[in-house]
Amino acid sequence: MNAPLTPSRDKCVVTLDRSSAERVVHYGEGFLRERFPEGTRVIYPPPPLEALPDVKQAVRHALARPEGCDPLFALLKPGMKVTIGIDDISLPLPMMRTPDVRQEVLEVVVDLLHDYGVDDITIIVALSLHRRMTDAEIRRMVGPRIWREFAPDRLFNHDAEDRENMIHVGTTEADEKVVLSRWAVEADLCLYVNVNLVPMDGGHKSVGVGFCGYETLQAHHDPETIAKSKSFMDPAASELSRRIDRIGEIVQEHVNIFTIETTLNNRMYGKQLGFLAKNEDTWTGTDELAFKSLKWTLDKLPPKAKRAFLHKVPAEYGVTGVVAGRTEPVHEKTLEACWRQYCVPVQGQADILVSGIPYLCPYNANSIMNPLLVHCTALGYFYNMYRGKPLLRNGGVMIICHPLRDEWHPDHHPSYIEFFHRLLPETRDSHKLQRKYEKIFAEDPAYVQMYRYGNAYHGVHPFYMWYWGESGRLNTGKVICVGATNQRVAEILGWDTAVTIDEAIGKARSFLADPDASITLLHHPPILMTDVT
Amino acid sequence: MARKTAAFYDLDGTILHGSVVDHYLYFAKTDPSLPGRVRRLAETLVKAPYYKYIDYLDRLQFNHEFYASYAGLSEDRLAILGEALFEKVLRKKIYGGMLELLKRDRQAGHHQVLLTGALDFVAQPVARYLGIKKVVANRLEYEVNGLCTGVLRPPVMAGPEKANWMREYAHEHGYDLRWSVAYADDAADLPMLSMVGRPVAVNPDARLLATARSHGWPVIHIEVSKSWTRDAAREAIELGKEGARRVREETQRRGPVVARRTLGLLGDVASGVRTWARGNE
Repeated sequence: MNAPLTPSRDKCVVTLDRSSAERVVHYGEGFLRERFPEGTRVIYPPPPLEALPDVKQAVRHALARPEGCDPLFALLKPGMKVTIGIDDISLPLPMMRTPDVRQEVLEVVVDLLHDYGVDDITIIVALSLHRRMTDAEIRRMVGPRIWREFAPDRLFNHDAEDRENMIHVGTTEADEKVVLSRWAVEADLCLYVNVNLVPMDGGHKSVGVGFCGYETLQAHHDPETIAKSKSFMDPAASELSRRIDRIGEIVQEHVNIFTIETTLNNRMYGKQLGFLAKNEDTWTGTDELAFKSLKWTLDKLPPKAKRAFLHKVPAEYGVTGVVAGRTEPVHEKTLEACWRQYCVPVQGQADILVSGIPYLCPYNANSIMNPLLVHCTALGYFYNMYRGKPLLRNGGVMIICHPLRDEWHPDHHPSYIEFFHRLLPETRDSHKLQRKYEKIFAEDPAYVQMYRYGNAYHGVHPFYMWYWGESGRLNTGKVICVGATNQRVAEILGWDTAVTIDEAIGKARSFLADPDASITLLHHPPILMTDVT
Repeated sequence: MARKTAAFYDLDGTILHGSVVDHYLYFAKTDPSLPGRVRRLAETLVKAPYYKYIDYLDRLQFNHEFYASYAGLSEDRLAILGEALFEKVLRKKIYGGMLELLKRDRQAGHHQVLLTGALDFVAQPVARYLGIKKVVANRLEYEVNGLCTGVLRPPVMAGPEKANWMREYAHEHGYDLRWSVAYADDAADLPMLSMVGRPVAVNPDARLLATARSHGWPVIHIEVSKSWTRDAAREAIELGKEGARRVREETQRRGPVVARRTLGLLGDVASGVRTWARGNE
């Protein structure tokens, strides 16, 4: 069941003139307000799709009329063993207000399973090599009812390093080993509850990545795959998707999967912060006052307090679609809903792309946006937010805004610190890093211990964050960080710095040897993707 | 050529729960003479705050002063009791998480070294159980009659001496310290941790935690294994029950004798305290 209306894109692309207002740009846990040169093109996210009025009803409808298979109730037999995989805290961003969509889906699904005599149910947070979620985080995500019934023995985090419970199920034609969680493989039915925030999510990635371990991730989380993915947000042109799909075929041979995918609209801000998604030329006096108050407050607070505040503000996302059934047909529909929400048609590439970097990315929920994550967000995610042609032309300059503090969460990102301060100063070459150091970090006993029993990202995760930017690094002539407070951090990343947007634009035009180089400002988040013609 | 790396482990507080004081208490508790037993236990109890204080200031001085308590214990007995200490006490105190970590270190190709300020006859059985072939621990000096003098034989493994030993050992055997790893729980082991490229703080004290955080070292929190606490509680309850049963039986059979023995025991305690006081003077 999908909301049918596609919002108008008329006002998504704005060209600034002399009378245009200053634009607001994300700057870590704060904001910059800058005047851009005349002729700058600003791209805004499309307005939010209409949310479904009754999510549980939509879930019931999807389960009863699935894509490519019998209704869920027809697949159930009393006494069968069911494993339910759910996406982790990296989705959605920011966390959505409660009830989380996973809670609503789980409550419907668990009731249905019980009705048909299925009580051997295990729910697993399919986090792959991400950090383990805390009990409080899981409880918030699944809701108190599911938590009370299943935690902790039948609701827990996936552990890719639990060698006794990881099973090698097969090898692809390209010699990719497929190793999955025993709970997924040995279940009579594996249900997966997904939150498809961006087109990269979902599909075969849900089970094939969420339940896998390092050996399987190696097959596609590597510099070569990322460099060939143009972009990894466009599955049709993504080598990453191709490889994951190849693994997915093996997974499907061994796991009986029933997928439930959900899509959200992009209503990231509630009424109070809604002005942040608006064209600044249309701001009212109230918007102006609200922004000034917010900026004043955030500027006065220390970074830690700002983070604590911002991570507590949930998004007002509405559910726009629920599709269930076999993985491929379900995901096709999900992707359509994603394009409908995020895509903005844009004419022509940009010479200079400007983007603010917010306080949050998929890997720092309730944590710190460290320099490696800033890099991943800029050159990994934001550079790749296109379908077809990249928004930034080959060799163009990317200007980002972030304080770039040398600040790390020691319990969430321990291996990032060593990667950044020990390996990157030696080389920024992804292939060399992969060859020389990836295995050492992946198998490091201390990092494995912190991943398994603490709340740390796996030891190999910082490598992926670096590979994620491979395409962006290869195709971007230069990156300039505006407002960087730590020069050394920028040097390690290989970036130039500037104090103001004006200075950055000057440096970019000088680098391109073109005083008229075109400028495009990506006014996000909320998420948007470009269709460049 | 493949890089040769080593993993260095501190023992007490890192691989297992407890400290060198616990080891001594076991030896004191099993002293064959009752007065000797009481004296050693009482002495340790009284000196505990002082030991804590000098350990905070200087681990080397602590080792010198604390190991003086072993004076008068026989070498043979200590060797035998070292095995018993492991079987009865230490084995249960090994952190479950450390067993897994040691296994992964071995798989990663690290040459494993137990580098501890504990005594050799205490460390050897632990290392043997864990499959660690190289053990470097403190050694006591003995007189010709086999009794311990209470003096440590050099080099005394504490603080910077551990780091010196690591440097020389790595140089001699071609280990690359930049990619070697060390695990410790106490700020006194900062020199040891600083010698390697990949230091890890395990259940660190406040000072080590602060240093680890400021240097971005990994910090592992391994909880005392549940089975150990459960076993210890069960053992304590059983011991208590057994003691109560024996006292009850004894009282029923020979009431006045028990009273005399109790008075005698109190006399021994007083004598032990007097001996300790005289020794300190």
